[in-house]
Amino acid sequence: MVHGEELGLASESKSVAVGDALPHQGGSPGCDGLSSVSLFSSTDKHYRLAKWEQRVVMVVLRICAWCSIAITAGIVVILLSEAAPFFKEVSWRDFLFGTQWVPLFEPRSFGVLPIIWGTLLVSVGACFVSVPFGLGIAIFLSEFARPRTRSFLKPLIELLAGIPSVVFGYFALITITPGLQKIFPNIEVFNAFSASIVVGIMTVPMISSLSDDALRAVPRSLREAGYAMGATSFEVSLRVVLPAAISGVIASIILAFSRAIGETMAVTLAAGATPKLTMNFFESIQTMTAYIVQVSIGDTPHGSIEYHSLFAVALVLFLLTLVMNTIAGWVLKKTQISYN
Amino acid sequence: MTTTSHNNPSVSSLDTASHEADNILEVRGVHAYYGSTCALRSIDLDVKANQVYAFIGPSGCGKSTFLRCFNRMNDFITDFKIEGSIKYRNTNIYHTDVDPVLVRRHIGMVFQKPNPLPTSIYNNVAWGPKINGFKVDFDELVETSLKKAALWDQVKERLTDNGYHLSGGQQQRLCIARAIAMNPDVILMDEPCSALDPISARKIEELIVDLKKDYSILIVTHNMQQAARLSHHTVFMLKGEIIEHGPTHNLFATPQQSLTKEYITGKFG
Amino acid sequence: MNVLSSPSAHLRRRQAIAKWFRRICRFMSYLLVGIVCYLLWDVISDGWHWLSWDFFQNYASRMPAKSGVRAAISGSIWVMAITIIFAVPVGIAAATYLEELMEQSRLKQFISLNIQNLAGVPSIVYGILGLTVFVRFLGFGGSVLSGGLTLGLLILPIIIIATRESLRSVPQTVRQAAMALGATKWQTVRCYVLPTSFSGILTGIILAISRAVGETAPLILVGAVAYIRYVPENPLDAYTTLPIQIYNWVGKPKAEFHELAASGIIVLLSLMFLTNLCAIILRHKKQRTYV
Repeated sequence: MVHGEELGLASESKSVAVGDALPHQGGSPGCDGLSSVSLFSSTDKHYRLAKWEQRVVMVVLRICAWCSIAITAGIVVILLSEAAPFFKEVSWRDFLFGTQWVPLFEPRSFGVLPIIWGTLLVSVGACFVSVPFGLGIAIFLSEFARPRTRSFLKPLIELLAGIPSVVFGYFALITITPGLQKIFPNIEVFNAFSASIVVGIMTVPMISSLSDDALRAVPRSLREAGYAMGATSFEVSLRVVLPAAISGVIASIILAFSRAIGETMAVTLAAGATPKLTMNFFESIQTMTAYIVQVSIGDTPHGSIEYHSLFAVALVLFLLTLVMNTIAGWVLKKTQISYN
Repeated sequence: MTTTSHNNPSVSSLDTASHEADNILEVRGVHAYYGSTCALRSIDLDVKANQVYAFIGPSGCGKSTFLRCFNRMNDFITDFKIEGSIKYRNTNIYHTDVDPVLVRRHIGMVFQKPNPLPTSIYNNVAWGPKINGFKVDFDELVETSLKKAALWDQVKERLTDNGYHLSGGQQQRLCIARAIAMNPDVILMDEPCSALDPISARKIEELIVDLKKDYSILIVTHNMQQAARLSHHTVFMLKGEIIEHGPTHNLFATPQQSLTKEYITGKFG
Repeated sequence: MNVLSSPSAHLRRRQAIAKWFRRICRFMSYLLVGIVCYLLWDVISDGWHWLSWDFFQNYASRMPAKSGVRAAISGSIWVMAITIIFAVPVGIAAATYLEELMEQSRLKQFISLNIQNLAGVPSIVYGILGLTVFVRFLGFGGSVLSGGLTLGLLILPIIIIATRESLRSVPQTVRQAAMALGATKWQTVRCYVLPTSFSGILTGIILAISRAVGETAPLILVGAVAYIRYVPENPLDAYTTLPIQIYNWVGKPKAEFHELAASGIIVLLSLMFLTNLCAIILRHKKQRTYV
């Protein structure tokens, strides 16, 4: 009898509770019992080869699956350990609540609020573009568009999601800002306004396709119920379908917001490098991501405080997006429960 | 007597006088659960070699679950649990040392919906024996298996075609050929005709009549006429329990239980 | 008769709202498409006249007329090669393990959740990971290898998610058929599940790669240099990539460089458009039914 043969297929045997009928096995007379046992715990070469193959493959594949855990662990460990020297010199209170971000010149000041503010300013501004467009498109695609319109519009918008962010940076700086300067003469060359517009356009596909999925998941019968009560298409989509799909829609908006927070190239190019607490979209600001790029392009000596501030800022960025994504995932999960 | 070698037709070698009356499968005290729902309740059954057993009963009575216990196909359902023993030739197939993979080499299965493998007709039949290391002429094996499944004449010109290009009935016969090629002792059939049109269904039924000479067949069916035509024994199940079982003729002519009588006369189910 | 044919004022107003609502939704959709088309047209009209054979032959230069994308394109190809070599096998393996072979457990849920979260981590954070691990800790420096591996980590979760999805689309009946013949799980997966979902997996990989091609921020962190006058010859050479080159050109004050950036964008977008086209064609081909 070959023991442990089921190792590779642990999943198959584990769910099975074995009855009590077996112990008599050895007592059964003669070859009958023996031959039948060998039927199952086979010594057959081919079978053992297949088993070995499976076992080896499982080990390799399992290592690959653990890679993802290793990446997360790597990110967390690196951010924490490399930010630690920074927090030795700058207290976390000054870091989190300070309102001056002057990391590269004397006198230095490491209050992260201005660049968090810049990030949020651009992200919220982006939402003013992405939410109306995203929802409008999602409702149009799921409720009103003819199948043919849908079949070319949807891939077109998904294609938009594939345009690299550096290209959007070009749009913002070279196309949109000069255009805006004609309308608003007081706008700066680097400004939060054009950055918000392009980041908004970038995140439209995220809202539109996720919300479209959510809206289309609403059962047809619900729409029919609405129409049967004499509601107009506006009332059905806004009062019946949208509320039914609301968690998916909200999740998509949160995800788009989180994407906007992490967006780098477009804001680096278009929004400038002037950390400040301002409500004025026409001024130059700096986001967290833009700061990271700024420092890494310059010749920052390894081990200096600027170098470590990189990790402290990245840590804030990572936690902020993680919280957003977790909330989005949690909201989405609620839909699944209510629908099944 | 050895049954380990796969190459020689073990069915005929086992079909000796001394074993004829032996039970090929013995089910003792089987309870099965999906999570906390009980799907099978204290089932006992003996299955004799080279006989056809039909399992009848209304939907959800556990007959398919029971059938899938014989080749441990239920193992893939995460919250499935089974207690008791099913012995195949005196070995409990649920013993910890038993590998379900090997169980399935001896106990073949035909599914409700024809499910050819997404590959050529030839490979559909030859793949099972190949991965199990049969040392035979595969061309010959494919031919004999397809002939036994009454499909050879229709597909011999296009063995490299994808199995999905066949019609539904042909697909199901291909699945039967695939099971036969493994040279199993027992073939489990889970409503093999229910997804087919009446003409294809009749052809499959004729095929089963041919096959019952060589194999023990356990067949789940909705169709009581089919059970009556095909089987030696009929098992009537209800709510996870065996209500009555016996020779088919007796069960249909003189059912002992009133529930059985009501079911076969169409009062419920 | 009258009841059905002459709507009340109230209903007329509701109908008007509904009509305008539909119009606004449609308008939004086409407006966005219009804006994007305008932006693209602007790029093309700016950059078109720089596109010539020389543009592909020249290295970066201080003089716009002598600038080109030779180093950038070869660098992009190098980086992508390393990304693919690393991320594709690992991604498919991890997805196969999670979807087909791993038993249902807390750990599996945890890993799945973790992968979902990784897909949402900003790309610049991967740049920081690459900077610390590949550039500094493993000492690869600002080389093609560092860049490729960093982008590999970045698209790994995307590949895993896409692969799992297409594995999930293989009908359960195929697995049952193979398992019922006494195949091990791995035999089933290798012989049927993976080949059947091949085109779906490939689509996901192509989309992930086209994401990586356009990625800029992480490469800035791991030391892609814009001013390179040679083609990388081994994985430890310094490099630049197309998006980095574009970024640098956009950042320069001279208008000619902006036009060069536009030409670079045309090259980059047509590259991505082609890969996306491949993905779309594959997706159509995949639509094979299991009756």
